[in-house]
Amino acid sequence: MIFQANPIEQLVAVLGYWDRLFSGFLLTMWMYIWALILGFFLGLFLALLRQYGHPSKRWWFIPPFDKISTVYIEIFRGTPLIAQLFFFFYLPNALNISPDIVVLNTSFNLFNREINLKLLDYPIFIGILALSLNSGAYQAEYLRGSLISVGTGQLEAAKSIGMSRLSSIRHIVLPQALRRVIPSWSNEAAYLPKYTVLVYFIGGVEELFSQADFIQHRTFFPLTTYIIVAIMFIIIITLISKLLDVIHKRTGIPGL
Amino acid sequence: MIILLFQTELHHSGMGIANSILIFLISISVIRRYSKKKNIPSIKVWDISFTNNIKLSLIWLIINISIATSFSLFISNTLIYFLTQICVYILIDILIGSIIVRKLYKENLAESFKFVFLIQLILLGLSLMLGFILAIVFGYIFPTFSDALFFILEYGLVSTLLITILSLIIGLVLGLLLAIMRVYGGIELNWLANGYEKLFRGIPLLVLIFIFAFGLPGLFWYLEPLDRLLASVILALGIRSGAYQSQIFRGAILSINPGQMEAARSLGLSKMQSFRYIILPQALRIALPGWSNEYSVVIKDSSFAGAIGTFEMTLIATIWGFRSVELFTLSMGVVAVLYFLFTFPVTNLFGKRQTEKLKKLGMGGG
Amino acid sequence: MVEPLLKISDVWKSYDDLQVLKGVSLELLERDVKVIFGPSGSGKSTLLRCINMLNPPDKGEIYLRGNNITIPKVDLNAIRTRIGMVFQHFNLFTHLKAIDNVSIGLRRVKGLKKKEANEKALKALGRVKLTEWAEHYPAQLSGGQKQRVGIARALAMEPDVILFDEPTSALDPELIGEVLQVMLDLAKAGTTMLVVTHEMGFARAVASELIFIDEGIIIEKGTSKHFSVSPKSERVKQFLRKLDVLYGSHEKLLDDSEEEEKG
Repeated sequence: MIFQANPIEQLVAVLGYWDRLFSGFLLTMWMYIWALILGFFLGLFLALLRQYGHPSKRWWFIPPFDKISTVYIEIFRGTPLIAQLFFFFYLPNALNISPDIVVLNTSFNLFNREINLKLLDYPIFIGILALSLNSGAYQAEYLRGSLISVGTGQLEAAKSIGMSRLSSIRHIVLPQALRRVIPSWSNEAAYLPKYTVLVYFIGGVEELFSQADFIQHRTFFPLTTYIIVAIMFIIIITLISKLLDVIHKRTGIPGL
Repeated sequence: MIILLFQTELHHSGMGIANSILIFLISISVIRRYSKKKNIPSIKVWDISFTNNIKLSLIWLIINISIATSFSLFISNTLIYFLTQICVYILIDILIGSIIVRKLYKENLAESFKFVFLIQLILLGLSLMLGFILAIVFGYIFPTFSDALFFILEYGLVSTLLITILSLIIGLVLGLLLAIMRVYGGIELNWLANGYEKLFRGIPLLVLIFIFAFGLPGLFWYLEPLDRLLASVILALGIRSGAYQSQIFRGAILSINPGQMEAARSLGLSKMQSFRYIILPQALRIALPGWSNEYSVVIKDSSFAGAIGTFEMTLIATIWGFRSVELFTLSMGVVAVLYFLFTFPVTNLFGKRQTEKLKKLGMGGG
Repeated sequence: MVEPLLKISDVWKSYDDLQVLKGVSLELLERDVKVIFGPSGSGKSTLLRCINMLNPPDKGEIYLRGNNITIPKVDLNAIRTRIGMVFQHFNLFTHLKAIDNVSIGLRRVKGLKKKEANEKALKALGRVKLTEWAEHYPAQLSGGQKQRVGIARALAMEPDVILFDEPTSALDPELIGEVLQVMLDLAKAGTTMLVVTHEMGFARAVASELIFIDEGIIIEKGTSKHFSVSPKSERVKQFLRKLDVLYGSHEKLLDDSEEEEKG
């Protein structure tokens, strides 16, 4: 009933498309890393704004950055990623701007199979954009939590020795906060690859999940295909979190 | 049962449900204002008498929803018939509300009737005013926007809520079970629960849904084909939510002072009794902020159900917006706002305020 | 020969590599009030937890009214209803009102109906003078009130003996008095009590015997008079002097003159 053919045969058939699985994996990782890094800097920026961005009483014309950042964070965390993805995908068209993006392509030979890898085109760009904007909001919350955990006491101490606000944030709070956030940040970092599958909805991106769709339509073995892809994701995520664990241990400071 | 109902008009009553939720929220805040003003000691809505107020709110909400949905099954054309329906609805509401208030807060019938009647009057006036204003604003000023809004709500809300609630329930049961296994079980149970968690947190939700929907088509053989997709989405979401919820409950249980367990055992309560009457009630309260977060994650991820063709808000929105690109962007914006309205108040309310309240009560590590 | 209510026979207990109790033996007759004291880490709390089998002893036996409760087949939950315990940090159930804290054991373990359980609970709260606070939650009570609720909770079960684990150590000084008063009343009413405490004033007033434990061994036993007049062991004398210094206003158990003679 479940397995129409012998499981071994199924496995062989699906793995016969290993080149597609591999290129899908590469594209997934490519998008993931970009989204992670961009999201990190965005998140850092947002967290700092939200925590320290209240306008000082002297410069009344400076907009309330902290409120702006809060609104951004709550919106991007409170709405589904799919909606955000679609929204940005069709936005240029809606605004009558034509979406032209430089297209990057690469291909190479591996074990006598030609592997084509599209690195940048419009859907991929939108995918990375939406993922970064979304992940940035989530990472902002983790970072803000660690900023708070460093405590206001240290800021006060820095102020009392005459450091400017900017300087004290940069030299006192931030180094500690960045180290403290690693456990919870690794959570987000390890699970972000999962969300790259959403680009399936806008079509035209051949990352791992879309490749699975392609393969199962050819082999008619949906269960095996998706199980293999699931296993690949689990392996990716486990490796990433183990790596982050190692980094965390290596950069430890007693008491942090 | 519920799955069969889906085939009928129930999934067209999204507007009725949205209305009743709105009315319910307004009524809660009115109750709060009213009781603060009148200084009624027994009717303090967000106070320590946690269970009573939750009971009241839930019962009232369920009654509101069921009456609203049952009425939308009989949409009628004549104005008089429609008005009669409204009056009957309000009367039933007042009656049941008075009984509930009387039972839970031990006021006499006259007092509680007065109280509920007053609230209902206020609500009626409010909703009429609101309805009038909204009709003008949305009907004439933003016709496309309101068209999108109503379409999405009417056809999508019920399935979204259904998926969310059922998945959360499955996740709750699984999550509690796994948390108990990890905290109170031996090494083998611990390893098993841990493995489950790692497995279902590591698989992308979409992959899991596809495995159940297309990889195991015979799984829900007793259901109609369309409902099978719905069931596989609910199952996938529920299983995955269980993995996350087990973390939440585990953290909550572990944060309870071990002295509580000691005191319970020293009274002679068995392990199961201690867990059920002492640890669990406290753990549930502590878990509430994290759990409300999980609720918001699940309701947003219910949008994946659209991927396999089950009707829910996001899919409905894409259907509505299909005609042109501008409309599509608009509908995406509308549906995003809707999800936001369903997640932000909940996480805000149960997140920050609950954490503060817990600190006051001395729970959560106290 | 009257049979002892509680008999602790040669109890040994260790945690990992640390031997906390090394062969402790003790007897309590009905209506006895005995006080255990000694330096921290000496095993006093561990001993109490061994008695109601929260942490069963590695070796040795415990007899309640002649029944050995350390053998495997014993129904510990039933035994525990006959041994009450009052904790240093109160351990009140934070999600239950005071009256529910006291009545939950009656309802869930002894199976009483809610009305009957509440009556008994109110009576117990009356004995600790907290009836007006029955509907309050622990968070609304002061430390002394919390501890008194804890005592009421143990009382309501009508146990054969009540164990007190440093009941006043976590309290602010002004609140210690109200709890000690309740304990004095209990002792005078004939409750069998085994108390671990530093409150020597209480011991002098009602204890039939004081027991000094250090490093898991009973060093010396005796009446409070015995300890105040002529304690035998040097360690006991040291400890009592430390208590003197710490508590200052409490009545000294050692003579001033003895000190000056030595110094």
